[in-house]
Amino acid sequence: MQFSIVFKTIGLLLMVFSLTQIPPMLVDFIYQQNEMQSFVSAFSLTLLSGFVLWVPFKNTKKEFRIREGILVVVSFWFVLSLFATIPFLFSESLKMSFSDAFFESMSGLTTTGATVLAGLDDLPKAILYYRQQLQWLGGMGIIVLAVAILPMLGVGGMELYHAESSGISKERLTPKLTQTAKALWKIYISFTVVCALGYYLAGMNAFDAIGHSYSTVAIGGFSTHDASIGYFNSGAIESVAIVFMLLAGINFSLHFFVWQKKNALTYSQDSEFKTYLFILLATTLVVGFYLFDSGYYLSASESARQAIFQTVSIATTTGFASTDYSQWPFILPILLIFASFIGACAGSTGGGIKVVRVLLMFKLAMKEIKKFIHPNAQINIKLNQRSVGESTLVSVWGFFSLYVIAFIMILIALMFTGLDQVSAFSATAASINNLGPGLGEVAANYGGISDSAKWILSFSMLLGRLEILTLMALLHKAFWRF
Amino acid sequence: MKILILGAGQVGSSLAKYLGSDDENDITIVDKDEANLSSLQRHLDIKTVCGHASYPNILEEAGIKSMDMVIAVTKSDEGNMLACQMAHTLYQVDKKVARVRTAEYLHRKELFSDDAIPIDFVITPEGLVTNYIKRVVEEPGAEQVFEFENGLVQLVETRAYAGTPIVGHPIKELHKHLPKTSMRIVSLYRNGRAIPAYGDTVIKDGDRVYFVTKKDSVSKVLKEFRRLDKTYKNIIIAGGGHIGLSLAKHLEKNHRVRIIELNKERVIEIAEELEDALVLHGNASDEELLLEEGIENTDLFLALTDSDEINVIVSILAKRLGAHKTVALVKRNVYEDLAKQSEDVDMVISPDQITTSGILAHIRKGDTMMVHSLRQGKSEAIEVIVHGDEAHSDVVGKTVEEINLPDGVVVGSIVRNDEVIMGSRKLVIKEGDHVLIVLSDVSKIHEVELLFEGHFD
Repeated sequence: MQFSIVFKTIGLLLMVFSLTQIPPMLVDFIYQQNEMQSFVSAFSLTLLSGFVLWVPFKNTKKEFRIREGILVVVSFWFVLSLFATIPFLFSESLKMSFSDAFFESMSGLTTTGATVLAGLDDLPKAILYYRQQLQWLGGMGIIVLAVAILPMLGVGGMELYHAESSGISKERLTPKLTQTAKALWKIYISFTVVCALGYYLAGMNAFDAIGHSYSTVAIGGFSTHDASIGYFNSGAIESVAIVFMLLAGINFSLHFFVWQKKNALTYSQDSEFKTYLFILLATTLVVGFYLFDSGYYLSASESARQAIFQTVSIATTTGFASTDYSQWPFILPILLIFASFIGACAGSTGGGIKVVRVLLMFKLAMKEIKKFIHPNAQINIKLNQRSVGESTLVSVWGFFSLYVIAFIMILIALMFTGLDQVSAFSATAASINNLGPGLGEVAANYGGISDSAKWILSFSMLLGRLEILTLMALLHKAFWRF
Repeated sequence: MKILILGAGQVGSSLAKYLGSDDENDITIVDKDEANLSSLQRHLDIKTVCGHASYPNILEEAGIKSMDMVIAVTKSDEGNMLACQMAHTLYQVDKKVARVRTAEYLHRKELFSDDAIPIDFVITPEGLVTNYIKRVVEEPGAEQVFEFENGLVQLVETRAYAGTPIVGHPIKELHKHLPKTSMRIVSLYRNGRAIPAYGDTVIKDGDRVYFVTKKDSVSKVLKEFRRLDKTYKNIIIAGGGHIGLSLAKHLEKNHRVRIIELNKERVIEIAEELEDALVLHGNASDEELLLEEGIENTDLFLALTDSDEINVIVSILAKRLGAHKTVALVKRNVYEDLAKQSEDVDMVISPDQITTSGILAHIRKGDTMMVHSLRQGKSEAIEVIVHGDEAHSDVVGKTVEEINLPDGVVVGSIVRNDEVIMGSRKLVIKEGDHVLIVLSDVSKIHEVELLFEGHFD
């Protein structure tokens, strides 16, 4: 293990990310709510720590390999969450404990959107903006951002890029990785801008529009209001949110190809996209019909409106709420949480197992059935008219089993901390799927649970965001044997 | 430059590696075999596409429409030619380079034109290898010889051995030893690392020396670095394939050539083509045959069969039986490294490396007249023509010392009106000079090109 290059890179990244403390300063400058001090200290502390880590190793010429890549990515997500707590800890108006602050920043960066804070509406604007911005930075992946803006990462950037998500479809959009990362961020930024405009036109004020656009395209779920999107009670705003949650839940490579070919039909040729829409549509229909049929909402239109918004929000793992859906007939919240396990498409900003993996597992299951009927048949699993390699299929199953094991372990650990079964189940799902709000004790916020539960959930969020393997690899003894 | 490489075999992979190390190149590589690609994808900043390299949909997926150059180096000659044809007609790609191994296609040069098969540069490994071995045979002691100006100037690579006049002495003593010979050491490598070659630098045993000199003084200079093998007289060639046959044809006039071939039909064929060389039917690993043919008096044993394993083993056998120098043709990298470690194989020739160098040299050749890549593409020797007058050039009218050459870049020699002048600090560069420049580090090439480019505004 070449620790010098690990320290050098983390130092460099910290220095770059210290700059992200500047926009909240500007926000506070506008609103004058006495939060400047916390962001200035956060900026200087982060910059200084990065510099101290970087200086001793700045001339190292060591090269990245797989291990270093994994170590840098995992430790950087951790370190950045650590430094992101500074404004929370220093803010006079919050008085947060360290566990709370870490939970909040991890939930922000991993785009989970679970919060320990209550009374959001009264908090200083700078802090609210800062929470939204954390989600936006984490959305496309902080490493992808780093690769896009730091050409000096060079070939080492590739190891990092691969480690950030062991993703199933890591397609190269362009020959150079930097260009690929730049293209992804360009799409991401354009979505954000259009989304903010949409919110503004639909009736939000500028501050809310920008803040919510951040957490919408990042599929995060943080809001500047306790009642989330429900605060606005506006069909127009909900429509904007639905459109951009849907878009952000699609593989960004697919967006790139559509943009490159200037042909929207490209979407319809992608089997993951079709499955994604099908799952959302089917879930919405079931939820809407049940809501109306059980008489929870009296009008069909209200049932439809709530069903569409809540299904898209939960199934893409965003976690916005237009209403308190945990009060719905009990089967519906559970159904939606299961939908969040499938999550968004691979290569999107959303969480969960990812549609393409679920699709492949379904096809594999169908293959087993066909093979049972025709023992001699050669059945290839195909995706977009192309056979999928054996190694990919095996890795999908491996991923799934790790996901299930991780889920069970976290669920049990949470129940040991004293959470009841429904809360523990929903909290585990909400964190590992990067969803956000849960049920039971954690329906409104996570303020009421114990500190140990918060740490377990923070770990679970990172596990979900890094798609299990990267973090697990670091914890495996083979990683440290060199 | 946007470059599409078809085929991720040894040549394709090493091309991707060398071309990809230049930040200005965007490389995409296509191969049928996912396994070839995944390791490349891990280590290089390039895009990979899995699929058949001569199918239009795969080429489109690889983004051929925006490519500046296509290099077809798949296993199949026909596939390579077809891919270039498509790149030309369907996608209007500017430059097409293809590897064609089969000699039969190469007999008709007019085949490769824009009207027929549009390939700008056909690379033929066998031709390159044959030329390479020819030069080695003609300059005993030199490991590699690169020609500039049709052979007027030669760049020679050799190893310095203990007990020779110059080893243990500073470079400047060379000129005392050889007062009348014009020569210049352009680069020096010790344990694989470049060290600057100043007048005071002491040459040590095992150093790898590159020097520039005129053709007729090569052997005189070589004597300073190693005991010279006497000119090869008796040569045995194992393997009568294309390379073996064309070498034998070239060498049979001035050398005693014997060629061993296993296949009876092929023996008859080559016997028909050769005049003076002795064609033997038999197995090159047959000890009795080698002894009968006087292996102990053989100056040079060339193992050029199709099989890497046989070449290495036969070379070792020949050496043990008394051949003075053995050369083995080895295709696979693994064997190449192993064979280089064996003391019984004096020289290993890798067609893939020669092919790669050939293609790289061609690609690099823009305004430059000649490019040779050295040390497996890490270094380069180029020949440029100086354009412009003093007002329009950064180099004309200046001494070599005054030009701001990047580190590790040396002016080897200048050819002015067919006269060779060795590089020195006080040499003034004039318009129309052909300058031979050696770069220890290829990445400096852009700086050098900019420097020598005249500016006409």
